[in-house]
Amino acid sequence: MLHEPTIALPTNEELACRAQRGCATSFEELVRRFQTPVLHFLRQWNSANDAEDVLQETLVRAYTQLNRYKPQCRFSTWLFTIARRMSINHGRLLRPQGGQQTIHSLASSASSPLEMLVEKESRQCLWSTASRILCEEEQTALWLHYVEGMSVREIAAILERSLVSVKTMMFRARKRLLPLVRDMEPEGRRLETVLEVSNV
Amino acid sequence: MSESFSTDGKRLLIERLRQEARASRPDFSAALHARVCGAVFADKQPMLPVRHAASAGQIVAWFAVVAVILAALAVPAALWIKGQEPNQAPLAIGKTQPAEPDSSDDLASMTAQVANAADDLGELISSEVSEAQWAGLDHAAQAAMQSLADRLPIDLSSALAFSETQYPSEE
Repeated sequence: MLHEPTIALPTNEELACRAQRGCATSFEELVRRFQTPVLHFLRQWNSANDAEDVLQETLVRAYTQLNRYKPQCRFSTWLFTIARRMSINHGRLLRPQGGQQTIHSLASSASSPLEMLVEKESRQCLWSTASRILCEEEQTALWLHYVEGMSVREIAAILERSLVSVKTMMFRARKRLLPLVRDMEPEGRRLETVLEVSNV
Repeated sequence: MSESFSTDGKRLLIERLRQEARASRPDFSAALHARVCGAVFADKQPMLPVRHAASAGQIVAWFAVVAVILAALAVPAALWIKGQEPNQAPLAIGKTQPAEPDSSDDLASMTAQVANAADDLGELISSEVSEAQWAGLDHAAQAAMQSLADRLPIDLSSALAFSETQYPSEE
């Protein structure tokens, strides 16, 4: 039985090293790989058009600052660090801290039936709700961990926090979101019940 | 019971987060890719990787080590130079001429020569470094090495030859 030889694709870090030596094709491949995930990440805090602008600025910055990339670190960590900073520089991540807004205040914010309907639909999207009740760091930590699959150590590097701080951050974020998940369940547990249990 | 409920809730939360993220993930856009690549490669060149330049102290220490090695190599050469003219007739000298330096004086002279050469090299490196701010470090290092290689044996040999001819031992 013949086995066709498999061609191993270069890793992101190998492509970055080639790009550092002046290989534009390698960086173009990196753009192809990271264009969608970085855009997806940036859309949490930006409109579609703004997210594309920030994405472009992020990749331009990454290309011009390639000399600062160290191959012993993951390229994704480095690139998401730039993306987050670029988004912060645009002033679009800055918003009231999530800890100031409670679940009950979310529930009571609508006044008219139409607003209640819109809010109900909005609350069906967990990430949309998370963006309202979590601070930027908490949401970023959750996104990078559960969507991008990054380790706590990598997230700590991106957020410039300690490992313990990131773990605590994620624990608090999960604790805030957990009642909402129960509330969104089709069979619908009572929110108060979930709150009581989660407080135990 | 609360522990299992908490675990289930956490698992449910994580699954919900991932599911919503997958649902909202944008498709790859070739137009956006072309736009981004156009912006990235438009008159922009990546900066070269930072070379980990050695500190001034490391450079001076390195040249000191080289100088010591060359001095160690120069000692047998100096002895060889002296041995080439064992039977050469000494020049007539006056009574007031100083006596020929002994071997310890030769060694001290060579050490002084090496020290002077090292000092000169240090000054050369410092001037090059301050002028180019490490940009021409390789060139400066090569120039210094060439200067050291060209200079040390000649100086030593000429100094020794001078001492042989001008300050022969009194018989």
